[in-house]
Order: sequence, then C-alpha cells, then structure tokens
Amino acid sequence: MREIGKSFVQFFVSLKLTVVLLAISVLLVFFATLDQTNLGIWGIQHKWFQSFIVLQDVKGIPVPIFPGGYFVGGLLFFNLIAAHIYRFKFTWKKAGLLLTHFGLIILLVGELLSGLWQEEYHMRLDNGETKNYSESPHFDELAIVNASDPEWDDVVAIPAQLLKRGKTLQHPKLPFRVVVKDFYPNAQLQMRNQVPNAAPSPATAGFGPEIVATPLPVTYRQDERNLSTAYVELVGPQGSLGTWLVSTNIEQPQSFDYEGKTWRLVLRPERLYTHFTVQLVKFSHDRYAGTEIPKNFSSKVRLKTDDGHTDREVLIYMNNPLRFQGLTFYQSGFENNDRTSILQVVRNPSWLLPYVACLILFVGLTLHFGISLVAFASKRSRSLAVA
Amino acid sequence: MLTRSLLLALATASSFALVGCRDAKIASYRVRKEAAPPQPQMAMTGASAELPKVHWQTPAGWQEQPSGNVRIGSFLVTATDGRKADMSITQFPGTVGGDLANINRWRGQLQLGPIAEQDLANAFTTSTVPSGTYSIADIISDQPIIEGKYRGRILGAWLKTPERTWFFKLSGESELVGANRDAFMEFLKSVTFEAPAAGTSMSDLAAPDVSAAPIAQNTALLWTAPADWTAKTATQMRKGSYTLHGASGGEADLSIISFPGEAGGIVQNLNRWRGQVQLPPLSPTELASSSHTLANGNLRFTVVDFLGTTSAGPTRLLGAVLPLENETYFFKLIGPDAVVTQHKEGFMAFLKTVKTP
Repeated sequence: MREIGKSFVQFFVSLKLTVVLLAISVLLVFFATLDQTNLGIWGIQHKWFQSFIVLQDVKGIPVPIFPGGYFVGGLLFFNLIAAHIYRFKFTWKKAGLLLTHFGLIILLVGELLSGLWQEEYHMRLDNGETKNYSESPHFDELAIVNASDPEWDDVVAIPAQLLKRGKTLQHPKLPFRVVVKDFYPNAQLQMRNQVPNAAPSPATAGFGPEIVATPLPVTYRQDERNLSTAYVELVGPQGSLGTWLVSTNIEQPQSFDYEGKTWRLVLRPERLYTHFTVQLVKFSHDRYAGTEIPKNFSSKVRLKTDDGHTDREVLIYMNNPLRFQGLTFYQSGFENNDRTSILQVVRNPSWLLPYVACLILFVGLTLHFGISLVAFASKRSRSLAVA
Repeated sequence: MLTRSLLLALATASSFALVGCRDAKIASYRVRKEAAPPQPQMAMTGASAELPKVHWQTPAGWQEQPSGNVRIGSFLVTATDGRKADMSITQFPGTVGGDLANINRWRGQLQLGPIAEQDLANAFTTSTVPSGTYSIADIISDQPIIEGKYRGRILGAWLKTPERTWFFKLSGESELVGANRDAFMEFLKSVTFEAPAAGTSMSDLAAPDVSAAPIAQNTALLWTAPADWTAKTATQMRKGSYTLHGASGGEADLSIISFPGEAGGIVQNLNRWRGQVQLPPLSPTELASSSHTLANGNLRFTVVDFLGTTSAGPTRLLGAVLPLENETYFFKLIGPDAVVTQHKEGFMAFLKTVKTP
C-alpha cells in the first residue's frame, strides 16, 4: 500500500511528466489550430481547451480523441505544485527559479479562471444611441416581458440552453407555463407564400402562422450567426394561450394580453444589463490619405451612471479600452456606413492575473540570471586570481 | 512526509473544485423601458417632421395609451365588467403581403384557418371616408379564446397608399368590439393625414426597422429559389445566401445583398465584380455592351456574365444589379465555370421570380 502511494507521488512529481505534458500541449495547440477551419475560434476554444477530454462526433457518437486543455493544464499545475511541495528546500541560489515557477502557477490559474469566469458581450450603438445593456454573441435567451407598467419592464429571461423540445418551464413571476414545442439552434425563416408545400405551422398566435421555419445545421463560421428559433406554447390555469414562433431573426417582440396585463415575447441575444448607460457621441473611422485602408477607428462615448455620480465622455480606440465597474469595453468593429460602432464588452474578474504572473516571471528570471551571472563572474575572477 | 502528501492531496482536490460549468438559470429583473430608437415615428403629438402626421378624434370611452415603437396610436376600451378591447394604429411599407395575407394573419390571431383567394371578395367590405377608401374586415373567433370564456373579434380597417399601408385594428372581446363598431367607423371618418415637411417625399424615407410580416432575411424583396439550391444561413450582410452544387462536383455561391442608394454606381460595382474573376476594368461604354437588361414586371435587372481565371481555375461570375427605390440589390453567383454555366438557366429563371411584396 505504502509502495502504491509512493509511486503515485513519484508520478506526480516527476520531470518526465512535465516534458510529456508540454509535448502534448504543443500537439493540442497544433490540432486545435487545424480544427479552427471547421469550428471557428470560439468553437475550438470550447472543444479543445476548455474541456477535460476532446470529443469528436463520429456518426453521432462522441468519441474521445485527445486530452483537453483543462486536463493537460490541470496536470501541469499539479505537477508543478507537487514537485515544489515534495522537494521544497529554500536556498537563495534557487530563489529566482522558485519565483519563476510561482509566476507560472499564477499564469495557469489565471487561464483556468478566465476560462471559467470570463463573459463576452457586444454593444452595438448607432450614432446618438444610448444603451444600458450589451448582448452575448454566443448565447440567446427567451425574454418574457410584463410591459404593463408605463415606466418599467419586468423581464423573465430563459436561457436558450433550457429550451429543449417537450420541456416545460415555470417561474414564480409568470402566471403561465412555457412549454417548448420545438427548438432549432439554427433555422431559416421564410414567408409561407414562398414555400408552396410547407407543413402547417405549430404556431397559432403572433407572426408564427405566416412563417415557415426550416432547421439548418449549426454554423461555426466567423461571418455567420446561428438564428435560433423555437415554438413555445404558453399555458395558463384555464388552458393554452397560444403557440408562438420566436426567433432571433424576428427582432420585434410579439405582444399579447393576459389577465389585464400586456406581455411581450422575444427570442434575443442574452443581455447583460448595467447600472450605467453608454451613449455613442461620435464614431470616427480614419483612413490613410487617398486609400481605403483603415488607420484608426474610435468611439467617443458618454458614460453616465444611474446614481448620477459619473457623467463623462470617454474615447475608446484600439488598445485603449474603457474599464468601468468590472467591465472592459474594447473598440471591436463598425458597420452601417460608419454610423454604427460595435464595442466588445468583456467581464473577466481575473484579468489582472496574467499581468501579475508576467511581472513575477520577469522578476524571477532576472533574479535567477542575475544570481547565475554573479556566481559565474566571481568564479571566473577567482580562477583568474589563482592563475 | 505525511504532511507533504496531505498538502499534495489538498492541492489536487481544491483545483478540481474550481472547475465548474457555466450555469444556465432563468433570471428575472426589472429594467426601465427603453427609449424609442431614433427611427421614423408618427403620433398624435410630437410626430416626426419627416412623415405624415395622423390626426383623429378619440371617441368617448376610449382611453388613449402610450404608443410604443410600432404603434402610432393606441387605445384601450374597457367594459364595466372588465372585458377589454384594444385599438391600434400602425403603418408598414408596401402592401405587407396584400389583402389575403392581412386577413389570414388576423384570422390566425383568432385561431381560425386561412381562407382561399376565391373567398377573399366576401371577406371584407370597403368604406370611403375623407382620408381615403378603407378595406374593412370584421372577424369573430369560433372558440372562446379570451381567458377561456369569451370569443375574440377583430374589426380591422386598412388604407393602401402608394408607399405604405395603414392599419386600424380594434380587437378584443367579441361583444365589446361589436358595441364599439359605430365608434370605430366614426373614428375612421375623423382620421386626417398631414403631408410631411416640404422637401421630403414619402419614398425618400427609410423603412422603419419593424415589420408586421417579417419577410425572409428581412429583405424588401420576395423570391422563390429553385429546389436544388441549398439555402445557407443569412448573415447581416446577406439578404439571401445559397450554395449551388455542380453535377460533377464543385459548388458555386449565390449571394443577395443590398446597399442604400446607388452603392457607388453601376460601373464601379461591375468593375469590382470583374476584379473578383481577375478581369481588367472596362469603360462605361464597354460595360454597357457587355451587359444586358432583364425586365421582370417593373423591375429592371442589369445582368452580366464574366468569365476569368483565378487561382481556383476558370471562374465565372453571373451577376444582376437591381436598383429599387432607395436601395440597390446585388445578386451574385460565383464559382467554377462548369458549375455556374450549369446553373445559368436556373439563375435567369430565379431572377424572374423576384418581386416586391
């Protein structure tokens, strides 16, 4: 028993394991880069790096093909920590190396926390437009809004991941159940009169009966987006209120009245609301003289908090993001003949860790090489003196 | 030794504990209503100077409601026992699919089946009032669809103008709507339109970003693609997107995009297309002789067929440019020569299916 425990510890603290894991990491990056042509950058991050085991779909069956980033990174992390715990012996000569390894550990932890905690959104602003929310580029939500109050909207937001065929969803703020009749992660919508022999629509209310939704394969291309679409039936205590077709391709919310209240139903990109507003004052797109080559693009925005404590103008441009209340706003793109600016909004509570890690790595390596240099120089001067 | 092993085990366990998944949970929150985006709006008060203002006399007992992004006017009619009816005034560009589509949309809202074209004549009446000739439909549901107790009814009127269709719709509990029929007709008589500010014509205005009938890919055009074309996911740029497969392999890409105005002019755009198949630009007169016009009703396509050689081999671009009101549409089929040639007839037939709603 003691032998098994010993060999277990030996395995985790061995340098061989480090080398093998580093080699696997190189292969992981290589294969993931190749797979990027199929899945796009976001898809491969999830499949190859933010997973324990990389699964490949073979005729509908997920087959494990490679250790994932969490597995390799996790083992490297244990290996590094285990080796230090097991062999720890502080000497000034090794102080630089210890610090460097400590920096590496923080870097690995930072990457893990980024993978777990980082959230990414987009904010699209037309000139003059003000928003207090940004939208997810990857996740959608079914928003059911009680719009009866003249000033406020009461929103119940159901993540699209929960919209599974046949599933019934309930929430204390909804006086009805939401029954998911069907859900397509990606679909094309066509007017019924364009599709002569289409099957009857499951929808009975709103825009749905006029539209034919055809499921499409999920796309991973950077320049395309999935238009998720669902048929949802709302069922109150007295029975069905109707079945609606909702789709991210139908941006206009569909309204209905129930028990004297006005409700709105819309499938939209998942929203992140903030306690401040961002107004696009001016978007500038400078080009090199006489060419169409972009030189710089920037957004002048007005930042205003709900409590009135902050009200200022900020210029966001490449490599100069706005950091505010835990969110970072980067200039990401533009469209609509330069009238619309797209800001990438990132929430990453661990954003400082890589900077801290790099600083520690720098200090550690400088210390290590400094100590080596001093040792070498003094050894050399000693041998010269002897000679 | 024991302490070190224990520490090692603790480090392992705590690191695994950190790894979790993104939880999808239903959230609820309260947010301030969004201010209406800066888009053409019409209302009784504070109407945009660019669009015609609508004026009306509110009948007694109708409670005016705040109009949202879509509604120009909104009223609530309430009976003493709590039954309700809702009156809305909206407008949409074009004909929104025509009379049959409008009536069938309303029938659908009342959970009634659609009617056929031959029954259309009996499905509505017309009434001429000072502001124009309105088509009026009065539809009652078969079943008690309101709170499981009351039948629903839609009394709707629509007025077609060259640019847009105006809708006046009273919907709600059947008997309450019936009791307000006279008030509804009086309301229509009171409607007047005030011309937009000088210098702006109706057709110059951008269509609002709303649609009663969201047409495929949010385009203002309709078309029917041949069965052997594979529809692809539309992007923000593309109004329509298809893959066309070759009989002996290879595939071509068909895209439909639109830009406001002339999008730089036809000469520049055709020469841009020539560049895509590695052909040198042509002068306007040369271009005129290498293109032809295809007429389809009121639509005039400028059609070109360019064959060049790219790194992928002989590449053909079959394109059609369609200026339409204040937009220009570009239909482009590009791919290996053999595939595009195979689909040329289909492409030309496809252009003939293109129509405005």
